[in-house]
Amino acid sequence: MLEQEQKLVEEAKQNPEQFAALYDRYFDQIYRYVYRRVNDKDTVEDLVSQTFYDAFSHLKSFEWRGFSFSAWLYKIAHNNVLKWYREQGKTRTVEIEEGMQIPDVREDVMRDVIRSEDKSEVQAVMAKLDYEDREIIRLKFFEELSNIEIAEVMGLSANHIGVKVFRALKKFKQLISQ
Amino acid sequence: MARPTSKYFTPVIKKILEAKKAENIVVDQEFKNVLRAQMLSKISAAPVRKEVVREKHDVLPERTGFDFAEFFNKFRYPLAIVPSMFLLVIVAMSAMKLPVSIPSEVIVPTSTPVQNQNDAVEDSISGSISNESGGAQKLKTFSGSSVLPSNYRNGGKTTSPAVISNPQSSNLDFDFPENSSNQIQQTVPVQKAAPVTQPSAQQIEPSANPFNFVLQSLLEPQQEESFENNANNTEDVEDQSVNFQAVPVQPSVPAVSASQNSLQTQPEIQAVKISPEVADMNLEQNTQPSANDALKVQLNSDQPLDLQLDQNKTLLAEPLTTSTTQNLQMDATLLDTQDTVLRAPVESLVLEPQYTFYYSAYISDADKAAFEAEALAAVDSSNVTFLNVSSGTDRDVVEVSYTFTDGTTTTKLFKKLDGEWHLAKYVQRYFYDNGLQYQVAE
Repeated sequence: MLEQEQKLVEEAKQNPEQFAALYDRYFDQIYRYVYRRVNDKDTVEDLVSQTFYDAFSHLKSFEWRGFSFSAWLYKIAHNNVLKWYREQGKTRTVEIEEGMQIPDVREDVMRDVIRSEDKSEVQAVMAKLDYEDREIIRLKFFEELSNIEIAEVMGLSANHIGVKVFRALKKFKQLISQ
Repeated sequence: MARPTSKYFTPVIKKILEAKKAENIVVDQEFKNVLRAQMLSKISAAPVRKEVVREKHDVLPERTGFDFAEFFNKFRYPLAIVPSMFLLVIVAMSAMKLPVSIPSEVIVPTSTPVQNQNDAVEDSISGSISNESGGAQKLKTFSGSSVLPSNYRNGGKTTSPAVISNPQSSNLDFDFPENSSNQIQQTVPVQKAAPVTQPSAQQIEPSANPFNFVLQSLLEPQQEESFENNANNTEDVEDQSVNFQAVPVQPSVPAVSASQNSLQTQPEIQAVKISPEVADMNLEQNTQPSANDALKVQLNSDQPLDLQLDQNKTLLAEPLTTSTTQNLQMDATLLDTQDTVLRAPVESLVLEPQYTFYYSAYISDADKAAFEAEALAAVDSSNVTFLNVSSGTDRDVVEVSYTFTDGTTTTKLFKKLDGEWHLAKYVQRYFYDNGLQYQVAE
């Protein structure tokens, strides 16, 4: 899969129109990632469009350094979100349930009840975590990125990501047990 | 997929994953398509916009005046040549105007030119004639060969001048009178001998080689062989004059005797005595020389010839051992018997070869002695004029350079193998150790 991603990137470098393939491949992930952090749909669309424009304009500067192209897109999106927060003067956390405005009609009622309870509980704990721990848990379990990719997105050392994940989970468990 | 790191966090991670599954984020496909279309349109429009900007810049440059920067950038090298050449011309002109000071001892000629030397020699030879004629008019000579008429080739009384021929180089001594201190001793190139079947016919061509004695005219036998050194008559007898011109001789010219048989005889130094007055003589003749009036001397003798010129302007050339037909005599009556004829055998030139040895430090004296005893003993020293023995960086290898008498050179390598020196040749050179592999020559 990584080889296919690399092939798409190389083709996009040679032919800019091939960037559409990368766009189709990673648009949903980036959209959900931004949506989890920004509750405004227009803002999400602005940040997502800005993310892909930045990715396209800096595509030739992308180099394979042990992480995937998706991690590079996550990093751009992460920076754009932080930039937007700085511009807005806000440091508020993104509520998980704010990105779940559209109801899933395919779930049955019973499962919805259980998950709503979990969501509310996770939402409450996530709101109490620090920004870094919350971001690590989000990237690790929601976006399913590897430690190296998380380090790339957050600009941290890859060796410390494992420890930070452990500490974030430890804090999360302490908060949820309360 | 993120995995739980331990069972301790399993319930926590389960809750997180359940929360992820519970979230229902629907991607707005309309926005996705619109954004995709916008990006593609911008991607496709980007090169066109660059080209438009480039065309606008190229076709319609916004120039308000002369662009000096671009001009100097474009013509910087041609423009740099102009001041460089200007400076060069200034330096050259200033150098030309510098005063030239040459020490006086430099401009004084240390030697006379060659042409002047030849003139001086000729003048010295013909000095007596000029003195007697009372004028400074020089004798006029003619070029080309003079052929001895056939009636002078044989017979006892001939006044044919001869050119001394010798298998080896011969010396001609000009014994001037006692009051004269001039003496010219030059080597005469030996003319090639005539075939055995024609021993009497030998044509001696005047050589352009300097310091050769060239007989350019002959005397007529009908007349008394008296020399009238009247300068006024030189114009009349110019074609019959006998001129001896002293010109340098190349010592490397192979010696050829007057006859083929004489090549096998012991070479001797032929001495010719020429008085100063006779050195540049004219023989007046009443008869005109023939068209084939080239210098031709017939000699059948196996013996060398004596050529004597006495003070009475008599040129005598005769073989040392007189035969019936080979007596070459210009004027027997005027033979100056008082002048001694010097004879000395001309030994073959044998040069001892000159050896130079440059041994390296690691060759012991014993090895040197062994090398010289074994390797150099085989050298034919008769043909070798110079021999250079040197040993370089290669151990137990000695390089010997031979220079032979003919000027050719060769180099041989001697390699010490098993305590003995052998003629060797190197077969391969390794660049990494700069070493040579030697192979004993067959």
